[in-house]
Amino acid sequence: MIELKGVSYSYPNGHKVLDNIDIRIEKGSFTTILGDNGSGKSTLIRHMNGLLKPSHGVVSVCGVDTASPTDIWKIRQTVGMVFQDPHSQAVGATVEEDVAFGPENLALESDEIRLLVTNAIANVGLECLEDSLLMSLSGGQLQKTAIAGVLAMVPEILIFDEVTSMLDSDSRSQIIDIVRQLNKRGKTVVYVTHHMEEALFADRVIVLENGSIASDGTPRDVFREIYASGRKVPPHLELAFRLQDAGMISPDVFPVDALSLKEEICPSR
Amino acid sequence: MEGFLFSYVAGKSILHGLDPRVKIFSVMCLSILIFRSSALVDLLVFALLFVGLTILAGSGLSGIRSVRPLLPIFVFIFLIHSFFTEGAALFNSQFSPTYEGLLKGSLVTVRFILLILYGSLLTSTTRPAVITAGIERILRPLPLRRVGVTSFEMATMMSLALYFVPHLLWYAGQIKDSQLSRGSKYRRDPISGTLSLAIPVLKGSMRMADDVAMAMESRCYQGNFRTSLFELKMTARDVLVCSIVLGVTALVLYA
Ligand SMILES: Nc1ncnc2c1ncn2[C@@H]1O[C@H](COP(=O)(O)OP(=O)(O)O)[C@@H](O)[C@H]1O
Ligand SMILES: [Mg+2]
Repeated sequence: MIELKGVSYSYPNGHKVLDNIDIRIEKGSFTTILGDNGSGKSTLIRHMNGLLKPSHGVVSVCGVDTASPTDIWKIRQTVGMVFQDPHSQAVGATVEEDVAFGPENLALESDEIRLLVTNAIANVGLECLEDSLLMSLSGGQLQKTAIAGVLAMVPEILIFDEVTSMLDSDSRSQIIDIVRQLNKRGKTVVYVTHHMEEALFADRVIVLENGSIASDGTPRDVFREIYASGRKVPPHLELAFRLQDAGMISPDVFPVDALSLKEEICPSR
Repeated sequence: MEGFLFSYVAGKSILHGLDPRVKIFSVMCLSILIFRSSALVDLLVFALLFVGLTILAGSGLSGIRSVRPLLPIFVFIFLIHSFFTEGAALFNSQFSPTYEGLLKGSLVTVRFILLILYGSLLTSTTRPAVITAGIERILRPLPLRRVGVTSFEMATMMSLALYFVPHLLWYAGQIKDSQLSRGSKYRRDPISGTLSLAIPVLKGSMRMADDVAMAMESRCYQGNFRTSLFELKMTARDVLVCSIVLGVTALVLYA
């Protein structure tokens, strides 16, 4: 689906942010890109829909080179991107107007737009707010609107750039649920975060450090590696690893949260 | 969303159903007529027309009530005119309103109030996006490309402003609060106070503008041809209303 080959990138001011990155994102997969602030996550994913062009190397989406200027709009329609700040993605006064922005740019007929907008809004559970002013929404509702706005263009791939980092914990788990649902219904997901907890339910975790890939694999392998190197992992995971090392639970167990670890240790009936 | 100045009030009235271009055109004609009328009696006709249209729109008093925040401005305009117009003084003092001033003041103020009211009648019966689409269609035949913009860009600018102006006000409020809570002397020295507010707000808005531009680009915004969720269609009724407005305006202006 998306393929990066030997990608390096320096900003116009000469600051080198990405160094020789190779990534292949498979259709239908759920990939998390994990890294500290400033490690180059945003710079990396902005290559995946052609917002940035690599200084060296090649990026292709469904076999199309992002450097080709004629295909760029097709690529951006295929790869939808949701950003961090819920307040700086709004492009309309009300929810439905905002969600309609993408399909309007694709120059679709108004009844077709209406259908896409209604569907997209239903997908994020904002049905009763479609006529509301964006000004009156909470951060979580704004972020759902942004996701709907991207869904309305019917992309195959969805990229989320730290979309929960400015939200309270309730909206955060709602957004994560929506993302996981979308992946279950067949969308390819690339989910960027600096929270380890949010990387646990992916199929694959890519750890980015200073613009290079530090590790890449299943969450279990990657977090084992992080744990083995002596760095902090989420507490319930550390407990699970210790129990595994002591031979008290099976080494195959990988609990996504504390509750599933508890189920592993003392199953409730 | 009810009650704010110039906000939309959902409904199904005839006024809601009219094409935005017809409504914009009518408000423009009415504004010309209101500005041309020099007698309070004439303005009474426009006030009555407004009451009639408000009843037709079914939006009740909310349109009138939403104008209340502007009351100080109305009073200010009225006072300025009543005190600073040459004429026969009302009281026997150095500084006194004049008869002519009172007359002119009420004329100007009533005109202004009527303009605002008709404007709010337009916005309360038309969705912001539909107004934008209407303006886009009105601008489309103009040779805007020669000055480097398209009617679509103008329309997008307007709908962006609809979110960003209130959002920036909110943002400025947040910054002001946080400055006050850190003990800034905001209130004591208005000049440096304003600067210390303006600079972070300006910085923040530039960053936001960058972010929004990127979000728009990733949603395939190209600035040239685009369609709208709200399709505009001129019906026979629209044409009829338009010709009545045009006819009456021409009659009043040239007869
Ligand atoms: N427009 C830019 N110009 C120059 N440097 C930038 C720009 N944007 C980001 N950077 C720098 O690139 C590095 C990586 O940034 P970014 O990709 O935003 O990281 P992350 O998303 O992981 O926090 C940071 O050191 C940042 O300062
Ligand atoms: Mg980032």
